[in-house]
Amino acid sequence: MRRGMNKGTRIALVALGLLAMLALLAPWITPYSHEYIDWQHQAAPPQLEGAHWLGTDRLGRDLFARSMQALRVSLLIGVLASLVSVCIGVAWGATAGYLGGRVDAVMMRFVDIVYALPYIFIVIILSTLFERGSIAALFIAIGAVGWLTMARIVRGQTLGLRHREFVDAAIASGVRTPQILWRHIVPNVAGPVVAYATLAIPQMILYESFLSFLGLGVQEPFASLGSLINEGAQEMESSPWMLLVPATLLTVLLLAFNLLGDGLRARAEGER
Amino acid sequence: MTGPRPQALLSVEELSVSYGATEAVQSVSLEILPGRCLGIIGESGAGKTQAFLAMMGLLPPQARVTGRASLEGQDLLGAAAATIRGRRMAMIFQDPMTSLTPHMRIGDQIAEPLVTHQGQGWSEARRHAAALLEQVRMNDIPRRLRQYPHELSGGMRQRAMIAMALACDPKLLIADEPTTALDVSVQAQILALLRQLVATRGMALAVITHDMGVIAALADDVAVMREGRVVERGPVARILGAPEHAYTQSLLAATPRMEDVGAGSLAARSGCEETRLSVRGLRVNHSVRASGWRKPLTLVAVDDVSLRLDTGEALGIVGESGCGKSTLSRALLRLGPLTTGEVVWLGRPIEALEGEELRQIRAGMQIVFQDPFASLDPTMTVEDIVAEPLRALRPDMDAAHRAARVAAMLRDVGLGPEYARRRSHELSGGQCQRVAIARAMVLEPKLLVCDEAVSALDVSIQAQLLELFATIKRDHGTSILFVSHNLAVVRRLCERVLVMYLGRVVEEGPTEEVFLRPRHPYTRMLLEAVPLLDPVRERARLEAFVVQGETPSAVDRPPGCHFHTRCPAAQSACAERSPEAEPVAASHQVACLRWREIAGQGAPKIS
Repeated sequence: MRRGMNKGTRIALVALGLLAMLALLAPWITPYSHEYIDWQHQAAPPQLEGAHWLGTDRLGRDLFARSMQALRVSLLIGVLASLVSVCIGVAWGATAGYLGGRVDAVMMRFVDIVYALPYIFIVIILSTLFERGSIAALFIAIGAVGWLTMARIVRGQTLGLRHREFVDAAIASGVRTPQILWRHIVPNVAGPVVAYATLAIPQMILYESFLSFLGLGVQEPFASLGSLINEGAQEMESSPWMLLVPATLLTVLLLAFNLLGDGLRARAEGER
Repeated sequence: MTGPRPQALLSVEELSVSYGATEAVQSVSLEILPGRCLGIIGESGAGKTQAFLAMMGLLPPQARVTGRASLEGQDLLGAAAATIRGRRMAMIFQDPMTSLTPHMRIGDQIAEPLVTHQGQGWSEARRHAAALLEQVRMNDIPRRLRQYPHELSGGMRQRAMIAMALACDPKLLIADEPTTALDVSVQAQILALLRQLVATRGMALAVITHDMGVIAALADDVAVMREGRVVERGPVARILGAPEHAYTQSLLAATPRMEDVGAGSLAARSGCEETRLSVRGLRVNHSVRASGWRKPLTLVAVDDVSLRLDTGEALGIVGESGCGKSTLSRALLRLGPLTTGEVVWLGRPIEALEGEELRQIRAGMQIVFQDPFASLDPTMTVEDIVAEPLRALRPDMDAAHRAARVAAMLRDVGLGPEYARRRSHELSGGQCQRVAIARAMVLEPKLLVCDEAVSALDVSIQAQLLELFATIKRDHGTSILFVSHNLAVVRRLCERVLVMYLGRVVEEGPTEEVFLRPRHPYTRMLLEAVPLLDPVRERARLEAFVVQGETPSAVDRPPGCHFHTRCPAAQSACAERSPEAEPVAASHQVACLRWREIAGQGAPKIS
């Protein structure tokens, strides 16, 4: 049954594994914390033999330590926000698609309306409602917008499943509607959902970085890849490494998630 | 035999097809003489299609083909074979919808190979296409040429496919299950057409089928295949009349026959009788969206149907596709919509029940569907599937009792404990259907609806499942509503039968009475359309088969008696008045204006 993965998917998995390990193990690798200020080395360029491998920022904080902390934040937000969007999106889409008729029409029009609103605007409003800089607020805000596409995908899949005979057999066996959704519809849409969720993670990370870049996301002394890029961009001409390090990390991370998601999607489609 | 042996048109020697370690075809040798028809029969997985796809060069690249095959002495498996294949061989498939390009008009589709291969101009090719459609006896040709495949009915699409196959004037036509997807009356028409084409064009025909009836109708010589090998070869009369190989004998024995003496052997009433289900004036309308801004059309799927089902009785519902038999069975289980009418189950009207009350009565009525794979959730194990009704409707049962009940049920349907943890993709079609039957029977229902439950299966599996249904009926007193287009199967299992045409019941009565003395012309036609397993009588039957055309659309039913457009006995009155059901004998009813007048004409063949 299990088919081999293609090269891209395998490379993506290895890259993601390495990045996640680096991010988690960073406190033991480097002696610096993300908020320690080294007054001797301010805006120091990267040097492998020196005290700071990837250099320091304008204030003298170790860039490796800060980037790894930012990577943890980005990964956390990406995965959690994606989970939130999967939970809402699957529940919403499966219910709408299965019940059909008027319920479906009302639920999906609601999705259309939220879609039509500029999403960044909603995220900004939501993140200002919560305490400034709270990570929990950030991922709830991002996940709350991200579920829309998921709901559409799941609804489409459910429409196809609703008239399959095993669903009729379950109805005839006296299975209650919530049970049918949970035991028959959700497991059968799992393939495309997992694939899409993987593709959604980089999008979530991008939202977060964008908000942080605008100064609405993670607040000092914590950093996220977006806020690091923002800081780096201001020093781009004098100290390019401050931009290049977080930007490279973000690019590799997004590329790896996209490759993995594409691989999973191809698999899910192949099964149909 | 006397005289020189004619040169074989197609000769195949030790052809093998393998995928990795799996050998789909194992050293098959065949030959077809010019102008003759070879029938290849076998059950699913016998490798019969694979062998011919190899000769057509249509196998996927990972297939490994060895052996020799030649057409008129020219090699078919080598590199230079592509031109021979296209010009001298043509193949038609089971499902004409997937073999026609959806966006091209029928006329262009037939004309295209003539333009590209034979260098004809488009107008000449279109004239040629019209002539080909004439040859396959398509009606209303100028209109057909401009239509798209989805606008044609199944039988018309198959005719168009045959016309396309004939376009380059092949020496050999390969027909892979050409009539399997068609209704019996249309099947008879297509078989007659293929016979006539072989006779008039001097073309050879290879027909691949699982159906002994098709073999009896078309084949001169027969090859029986099993698990990739040819187990028996010979002229059709000997294979059907005196088969030597045990497998051929078992295939023939499993094939349900209309002409069997002692048919209906599985139909045996238990003593006590009480009406379990009665349906009065049931009607199901669907609203069909029309194109553009026009008002939605009303499709009458089931029109004023009444029926009664007793304890331990099997009632057959027969009719061709679109007659409303499945809609009816789903409506009375409250699985599908129901417009008006009364459904009384165990003395209680259930047509308006909703929610929890409806859920509770479901324990007594269960259903088995046609497609064995689609009716099992691919993500669940067999034991979970069978346990599901118990979880839903027997919350009082604890896990240990439930597991024991599921294990006992699987044993009853003939599946060992090793199947409990498998999923549907690890099972064969017959095994899947057994799981579906176990799921339906685990609650010990009083009514079991079988919606074409054996139609998708090989004959030997079919025979086993019919035995299983008969056992269920006898041992548990379960009433069975058996929906099927296969009259021979219905005759074997059911005590009473109900014949439907375009939503209405046209005839109802005891099975033997209806099948031996059919009163309605439609019932007669259905009976006459069932293939016989005797080649001589089967060919005579095809020549005498009179009913043309196909079932009209349920959106646009003919006025009066719906069957009058195809009825050989129709008169002008039939188009004006709608016939009421009239009693013929005790519990035998017919809805035909002229049944008294035509009663004496043309005794049906099985009497």
